Amino acid sequence: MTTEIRSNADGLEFKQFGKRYRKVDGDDKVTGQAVFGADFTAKGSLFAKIVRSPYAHARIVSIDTSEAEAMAGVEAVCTAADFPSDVAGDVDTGEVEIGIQFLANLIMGRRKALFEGHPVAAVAATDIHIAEEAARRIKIEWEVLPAVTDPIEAMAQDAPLLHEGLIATSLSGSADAPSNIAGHMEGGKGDVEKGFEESDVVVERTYRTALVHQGYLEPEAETVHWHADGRIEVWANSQGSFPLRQNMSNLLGVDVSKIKVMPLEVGGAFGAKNTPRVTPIAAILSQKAGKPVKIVLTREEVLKATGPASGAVVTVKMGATKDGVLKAAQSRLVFGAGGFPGSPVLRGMQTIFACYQPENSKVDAYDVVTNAPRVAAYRAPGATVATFCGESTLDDLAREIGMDPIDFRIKNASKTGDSNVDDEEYARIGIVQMLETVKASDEYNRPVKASKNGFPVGRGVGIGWWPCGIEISSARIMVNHDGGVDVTIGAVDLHGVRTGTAQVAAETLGIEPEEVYVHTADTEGIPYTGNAAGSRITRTLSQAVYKAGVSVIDQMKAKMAVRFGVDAEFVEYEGGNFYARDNQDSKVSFKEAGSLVTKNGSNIVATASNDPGMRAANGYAMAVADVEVDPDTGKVQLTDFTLFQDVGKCVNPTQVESQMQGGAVQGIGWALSEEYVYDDQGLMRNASFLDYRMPTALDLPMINTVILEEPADDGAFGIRGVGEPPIVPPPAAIGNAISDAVGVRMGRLPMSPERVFEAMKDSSK
Amino acid sequence: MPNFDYEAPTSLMSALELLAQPGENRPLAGGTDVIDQLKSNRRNADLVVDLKRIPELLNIESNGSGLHVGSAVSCTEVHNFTTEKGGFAALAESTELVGSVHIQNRGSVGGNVCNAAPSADTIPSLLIHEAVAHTASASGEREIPLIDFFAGPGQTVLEKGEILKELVLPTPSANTASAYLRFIPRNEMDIAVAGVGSLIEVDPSTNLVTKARIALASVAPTPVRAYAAEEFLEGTKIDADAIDKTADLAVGSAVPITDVRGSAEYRKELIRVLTRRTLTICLERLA
Ligand SMILES: Cc1cc2nc3c(=O)[nH]c(=O)nc-3n(C[C@H](O)[C@H](O)[C@H](O)COP(=O)(O)OP(=O)(O)OC[C@H]3O[C@@H](n4cnc5c(N)ncnc54)[C@H](O)[C@@H]3O)c2cc1C
Repeated sequence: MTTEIRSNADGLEFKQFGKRYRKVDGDDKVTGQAVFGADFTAKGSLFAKIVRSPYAHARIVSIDTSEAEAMAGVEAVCTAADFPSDVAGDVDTGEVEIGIQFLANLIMGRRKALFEGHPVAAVAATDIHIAEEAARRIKIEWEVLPAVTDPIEAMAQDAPLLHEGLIATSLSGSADAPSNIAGHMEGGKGDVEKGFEESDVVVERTYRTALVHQGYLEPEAETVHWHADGRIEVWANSQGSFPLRQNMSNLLGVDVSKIKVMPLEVGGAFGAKNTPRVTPIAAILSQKAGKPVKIVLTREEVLKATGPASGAVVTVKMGATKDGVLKAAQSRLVFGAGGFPGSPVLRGMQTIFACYQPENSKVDAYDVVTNAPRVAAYRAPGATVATFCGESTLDDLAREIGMDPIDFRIKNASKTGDSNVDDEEYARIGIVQMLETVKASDEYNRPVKASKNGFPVGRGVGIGWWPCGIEISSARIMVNHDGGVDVTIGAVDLHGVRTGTAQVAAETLGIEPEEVYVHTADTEGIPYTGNAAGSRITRTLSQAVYKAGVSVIDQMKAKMAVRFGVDAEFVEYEGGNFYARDNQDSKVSFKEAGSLVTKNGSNIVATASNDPGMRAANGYAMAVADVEVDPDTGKVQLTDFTLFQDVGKCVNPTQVESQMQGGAVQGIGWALSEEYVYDDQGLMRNASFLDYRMPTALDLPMINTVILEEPADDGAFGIRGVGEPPIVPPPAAIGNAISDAVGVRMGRLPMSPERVFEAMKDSSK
Repeated sequence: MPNFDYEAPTSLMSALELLAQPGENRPLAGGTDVIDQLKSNRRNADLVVDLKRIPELLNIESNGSGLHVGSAVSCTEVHNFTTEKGGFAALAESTELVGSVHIQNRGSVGGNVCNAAPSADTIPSLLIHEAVAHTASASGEREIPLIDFFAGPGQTVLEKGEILKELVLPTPSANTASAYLRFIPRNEMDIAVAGVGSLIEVDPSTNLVTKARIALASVAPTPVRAYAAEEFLEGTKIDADAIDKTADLAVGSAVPITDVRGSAEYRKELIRVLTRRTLTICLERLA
């Protein structure tokens, strides 16, 4: 067992929490029974292929679909001309936002393609091979334009302009001429210049990171049936059925109530599947053909044309006194957004110094459009890159003033009630406690294992912050005739929500999780529930389930009161039994009571949503990484890795541990091997899992996990967000470990062998 | 992927007849290269001829004339056979590197050779062990030293309708050791940024190298031999200095390109490192 729960601050004890309750959807998934997007084919379905731009930046001169349309088996062809042109309303794409007009143009390119793989047409046919052939026969005349994929080059005045009408906005107003800079945000406090003057040591570094992809196992796969009577059914592969329904409504100009979204199992999303990509295309094709249309993307399409995470260029400058006071911290973050504005640079700005309280701070954040796929959320969007840059600089600063890197962090750590660069005040946090736990841990103090190859070894740490999100989650609890309990939720289950919800419901109702059956409903089956994003589902949904559960108990008390012949206020529920207060012998178990009261025609049902005013519970995680570095090739091998995370209250250690391990591994891939490689035409050179390198099991040591519990302020159980924080610190910890091993500071992600080799060569010059 | 016909003949003769027919006809062994190439439209086929039911092509044995590897024998079988019999350490190592366990169970050494990727992992090992390709077609058989088998990336000297029947490797002397190492950024499921196979035969009485073979992967349009390095080493007393010099000379035989997998400069550096390391392993094996 790798998980240990090392603290339990408030002594909050729950009977059903902290237990390794078995994943309720696990059996179906490991035996291949679960139905994912690609497994589902509607009766009479057509199969569609999207025609994509072969260029990173090109004007569409003309599109001729006639030859494709004439092919036997082809039943519908669409281009942007078939989509509503004046779309309105808000769209909800989770933590990384996009304007609706931009989203419409992203889904189906109009006039111009802004990245390689940008959809410009689509074909639906009776089988996928016909659709592929027809897609090849769509003739597009292009005027190829110069492309720019690097965000710094894109900011230059003479850079190719992506959007003629894009005017940067900032605190000081709007720019006077269009550029690729979509926005400039600022934050901070005090006077950094003064802070640097008061510092004994100032360190300044610039970092560059590449675009990376979430690498979810399941490519986007969706079916849409636009019925002749105007109803639209969607078999979805999305993180949020309700946001998808709203987005479809706004993009297609169809009433929300006419659209039904049925979530299928989702094979990974990590933020990317908050953004609709293929659903509106399938809808338009279905409308034209009068039949259901299924679209399944290939891995190449996923890599080239879904939403990766931003590549960035970040400069960090930090100054401190010899005795370890962080006098000033400054950063300029430039994030590439891809073809349309809206990178998560604001989140980078909020997270880069979040764990600390520099006396003076200044952060400038630039959102820049580039000829790359429009980015989407990826697990703590913006934070991983920002933290790599901030924690690398901080580590060098600690070394230069001669202070233990964790002591330096503790001395300057943020505490409850402090505020961030954007003036957001922190609810209850335990950063100092986490730092102290790590400082005292064996993982941090034992000697780094010597390399059996005789290579240099090193250890590094990094701490990362993620505020986590908040949205509405809804749940309904219904008692069945046998006294068992159905819990219906609107949240798409990406990460064990059904299992955790069974435990929360059992805890609330005083029964066992085995007596609770949790189902994910479609949009007709439950009130609104937001995206499964922002690490917020367990936190918000547990409150909704708690509220519904309290109502169920009240309703049952009222019914049992009639049986006991007493007023409801004299009925007690304790230890899983109802009884009349003055008659201990009247005990009836929940199950029996449920059966008794529902058999005579009464319903016990309660629906609830979480409190809309609920605050996000900040999350943070810290990594300790050990590496060995091949001095001849630059290859870094991770030899030991432990992630510490404060989860507030751990519902299910197995699930928490797998979130921590999964997130850590994605962070490790980001650190060491994953990157989009573009040529000078803006074309992606490595759009396959051969050359886009995610770590395999053989690349990783066991990812050890240590769960800390400093309960969050509000919510029903002190639960914090769990899913996102683990991805944040690994690149920082690994960069610091490399520096410890071979004395070079890596300024690039990924820290791939050739880059480390080059850095070592440069430093020995 | 356009439609194609599929045949799985059970005799060599009928396979050769099928392949001699007009059209684009492709042999299929494990299919780990060709199926992906067909699916992704990088290669076309009118007819795919499965070779896995032809007994001659599934045979592996060692006899007086050396090690005979039928062209459709899987990497796993070659690995197990050479590990058990000994003598071909580099081949045993390289067949265990290809892809993953699943790929090794399916993919053949013959397919690796005929696919002719400059990065193919088994080819340097076959080259240093002086493999000869025995081919067959409807019009007869040929024997081609493996070094002459490759015409460019993905291209061999095989003619239309001609297949690789088997690879024959002479049995090395007892004073011979070989080793193969590749460099990949990950630890498996990756493609060699550079690979080096080295073989040395050392006269135990004089400690002089009597034979040296060094072959390189991923640093030229085809797998190549590092002749200058081999010549230098033959007749030399092998020690750390000699190994360093040999490694420098091996770099001279590398004419790599820069691509997403590595720059030309880095690949040359890797050739130096891998040559040094494989020769060091050979020495340890001889000790
Ligand atoms: C996930 C994955 C990982 C891989 N990893 C590696 C790796 O690490 N190292 C490596 O070198 N390769 C790797 N490969 C490539 C491939 O597995 C090997 O090249 C394998 O040895 C090919 O053998 P096969 O039997 O599957 O060939 P096939 O795909 O059946 O054939 C390959 C080619 O040779 C031709 N051919 C096959 N047999 C004959 C014959 N007898 N005569 C004439 N032509 C013939 C076919 O027509 C085809 O053009 C990998 C492939 C995959 C899918």
